[in-house]
Amino acid sequence: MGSKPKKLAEATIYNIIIVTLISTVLVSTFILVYSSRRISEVNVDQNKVLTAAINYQIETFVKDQVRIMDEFVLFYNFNKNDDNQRRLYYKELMELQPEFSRFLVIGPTGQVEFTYPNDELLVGTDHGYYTYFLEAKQDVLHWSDTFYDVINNLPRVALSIKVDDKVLVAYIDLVEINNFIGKLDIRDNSIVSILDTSGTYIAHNSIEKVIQREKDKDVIELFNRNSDLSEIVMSETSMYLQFVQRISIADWVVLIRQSKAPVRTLQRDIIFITSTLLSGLIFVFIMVSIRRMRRIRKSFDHFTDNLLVLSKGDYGHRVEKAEYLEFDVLGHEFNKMAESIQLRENTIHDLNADLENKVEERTKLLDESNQELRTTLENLQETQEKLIISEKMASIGQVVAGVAHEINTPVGISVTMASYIDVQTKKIHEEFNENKLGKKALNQYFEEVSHSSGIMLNTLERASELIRSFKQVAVDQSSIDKVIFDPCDIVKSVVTSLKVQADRQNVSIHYVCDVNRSVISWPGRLSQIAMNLIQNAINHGFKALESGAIDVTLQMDEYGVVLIVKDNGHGIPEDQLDKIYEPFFTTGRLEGSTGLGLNIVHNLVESAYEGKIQCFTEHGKGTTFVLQLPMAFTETFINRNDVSTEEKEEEEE
Amino acid sequence: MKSKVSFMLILILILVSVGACSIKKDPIKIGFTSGLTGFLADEGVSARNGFILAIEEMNGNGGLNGRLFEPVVKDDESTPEVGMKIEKAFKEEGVEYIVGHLLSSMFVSVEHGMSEYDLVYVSPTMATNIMTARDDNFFRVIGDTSVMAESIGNMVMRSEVNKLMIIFDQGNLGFSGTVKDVLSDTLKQQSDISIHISPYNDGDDFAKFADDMKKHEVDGVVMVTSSVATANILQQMAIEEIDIPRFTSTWALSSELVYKGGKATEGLYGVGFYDKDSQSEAFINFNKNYLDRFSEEPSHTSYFAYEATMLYMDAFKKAESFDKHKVLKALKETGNYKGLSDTYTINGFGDAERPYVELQIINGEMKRVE
Repeated sequence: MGSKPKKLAEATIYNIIIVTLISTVLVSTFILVYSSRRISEVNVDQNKVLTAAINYQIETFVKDQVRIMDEFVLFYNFNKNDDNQRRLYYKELMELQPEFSRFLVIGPTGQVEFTYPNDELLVGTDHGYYTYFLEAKQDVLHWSDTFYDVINNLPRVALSIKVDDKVLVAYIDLVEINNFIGKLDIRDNSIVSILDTSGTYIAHNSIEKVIQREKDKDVIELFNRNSDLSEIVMSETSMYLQFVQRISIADWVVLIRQSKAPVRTLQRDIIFITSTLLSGLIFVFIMVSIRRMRRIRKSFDHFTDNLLVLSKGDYGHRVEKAEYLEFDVLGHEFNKMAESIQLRENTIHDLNADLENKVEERTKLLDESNQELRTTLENLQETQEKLIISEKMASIGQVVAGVAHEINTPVGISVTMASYIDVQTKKIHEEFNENKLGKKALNQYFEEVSHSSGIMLNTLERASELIRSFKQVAVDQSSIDKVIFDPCDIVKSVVTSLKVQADRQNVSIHYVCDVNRSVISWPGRLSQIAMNLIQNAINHGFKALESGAIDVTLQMDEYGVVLIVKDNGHGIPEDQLDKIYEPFFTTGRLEGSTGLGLNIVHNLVESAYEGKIQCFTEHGKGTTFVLQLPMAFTETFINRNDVSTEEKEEEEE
Repeated sequence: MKSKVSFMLILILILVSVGACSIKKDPIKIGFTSGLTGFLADEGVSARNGFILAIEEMNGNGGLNGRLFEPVVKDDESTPEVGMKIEKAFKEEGVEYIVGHLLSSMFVSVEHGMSEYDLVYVSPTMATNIMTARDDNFFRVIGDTSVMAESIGNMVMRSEVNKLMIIFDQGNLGFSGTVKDVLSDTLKQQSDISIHISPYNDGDDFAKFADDMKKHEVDGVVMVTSSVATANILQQMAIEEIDIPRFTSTWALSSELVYKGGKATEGLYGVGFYDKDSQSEAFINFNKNYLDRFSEEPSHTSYFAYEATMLYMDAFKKAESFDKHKVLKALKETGNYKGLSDTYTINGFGDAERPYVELQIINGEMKRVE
């Protein structure tokens, strides 16, 4: 999809060429294969017919010679001792059958006894090694292998037969057979030949093969493989189709070699003509295609030009009538589409105008509403701030009440002790003035004063400690400046300040701090978070319960500190769990709760600290708040004298 | 579009190149010429067959260096006039290497071919000493005529002949004339045998020679004639019951001689260049292959023609080329050459130096004289 788009015209022409070429090759191949097969079949049929015809001719020839030989034997028996009669007969026979060139009578030892035509040189010669003598002696009619007449260079064959103890031999010239083969209308280097069993040509349409006594390798091999050959055997070489059949009587074979050259020439011609015609057609076809494609492209370009005008937004423009139906239909449809678009555009234009008016109107109304809302919001914010302040004040009030109660006791004790010391002092003073003061009484006085002042000092130190804690709780919670402080101390102060309130409700607070480094953060915000959470637990966690416990833990993690406030109260109902951080959500509205405590905690944790607050609650078992409060640690380690905060707390108690 | 057209053109070029590369190299044409017709055709046809067998064997083994051999056979009709036309025809057909001619009388034609067309010849049977010790393009695998004549002379001298008739073929004077002369000289120099010379011409009455033998009362005859002529003379001698020692040259020692001469050939002496009873593997294989291929026994000319053709093949292998100069150089450096039945020497002049074997026809077969 990422490739460059192709040009339609070029791609179409290219495809036309490819398809045409492939079609041409396929058609040519089909024509070639089909025509070759047909031509070969026709050739094979023709050659089989020709082989059979030649075979018939040769057989007829051979049968004639055998018949004559029979007559020859018959005549010989009638005229055994009359040479003159025999010569007369042979003379007539040779006139009638010119292929008979010589007759011999060979004696039992192989010596020639009689010849016609008379040849004195032959008479008496030994033909004992000639096969026509040796074979005929076995009492069979024998056709010899061919031998050559040195005068005319053409082969002869000897037909021999045994009569009594002699052998009659007739030489038969094969000129006539060669003439017959030579007269055959052989074209295209094809070969028609007759061979003897040694593979030697005895007739051939190229007479030189006969004259030079060539032997045909294929026929010799064929004989070696299959000497029967009574049926026509067809074989194939690279140049020829061969047809071979044996002539049984004379033990010769007819061999026809059909040259493949004419078939190949014909095939070449067919290919050439087919290719030329197809090439011409392809050329014309491609040229016409290119011309037609150009016209189509022109029409298409005209069409796209019109579309370009439309695409630029001129929906008033109309596509003109095209030359081709398809483009014309397309143009017509585009015109319809343009009209439709134009109509819709007008409608949209009107609607837009109307909408603008309405928007203006509504905007005005909205502005007014906004103003009202803004005012309401401001009032609300003001109220909220007041509420927050009052919440703070309520918290502080509760703390102050606690603190006042705590301070009240030591102060009261101190007053009592001071009064007692005063009374005793006055009493001693009077005794002294009256000189009634004895040593024992003075010592008793000193012991009582010392004991009383000790009690007084102790209780006043405790009051002082309470005031210091209260001071720490009351640091400016709105301060945005980060300072270095010990978080354990801050939370401890809160716990201490709420102790009285907790005690009143029979709730114990256990505080554990595992933070051993100072932090850089907002001590006031941490204090407020701890205050609100613990107060929330005290106020709402144990309603209708006789007693309870709150575990406050401060730990370190890699980002800062983790504050865990866990109570074993009745827990938060599940349906309220997702509302606890909502402002003004409270279950103790009647008791004077504002519903802002957890909301403030949530806002401080997530906004100021960018930390995380999680609440886990289980009905009847209590609630646990886990707060992750990111803050930086200083390098300073705090030595807590190996005494945990909890222990110190307990000691103090 | 252009890249696609280029791709198609390259594809067509590759296909054409592959097609061109797959075209086989032209075969090397090897010529053969001898008399394939007429009275002397038997030897020529046998030699031609030996030549064809050698070529077919080479081609059957895939040719040489990827090249096949194409035999080009021509009938010189055993006459120099026709031979000279054939040399020209060979040249025109691109044939440079020729196995032939057979008859010594064809040396005129060979000289013409060498001088006019720079053709190269390895002759199977041209034994004439006219071509001996000449640094030219002519090579042969048969020994010199003089050696053959001396060998016949030795046999004659051992057979107690006093008056010898020498019949020589005037149609092949290059061979028969030399044998006649050398034989005569040898006998004159080394014995008291008197000699009667009787020329033979094509078409002569064979009975005339038998008559002459009786007339001149010869007690031995040497026939320096072809196999057919020799067979006929022997037949006439048998008719006339002339029973004297008979000798013939290598020329006549073909299977045709026995076939056509019949029992009249019994006891005939001859000299040959090969041991017909050789047990060498090459010789046995050749006989078998020849019989399979041509359905007949090989003749002496078949052996020589086969060896002559194989001499070319050896030279092509040595030269690692078909270049004429390189091939000629290789031919001249042949030295010891392993023939079918034995190893002999082709000297720097291209003449074979090989021993003659004395033979006699016994029971229709040529046997080595022990």
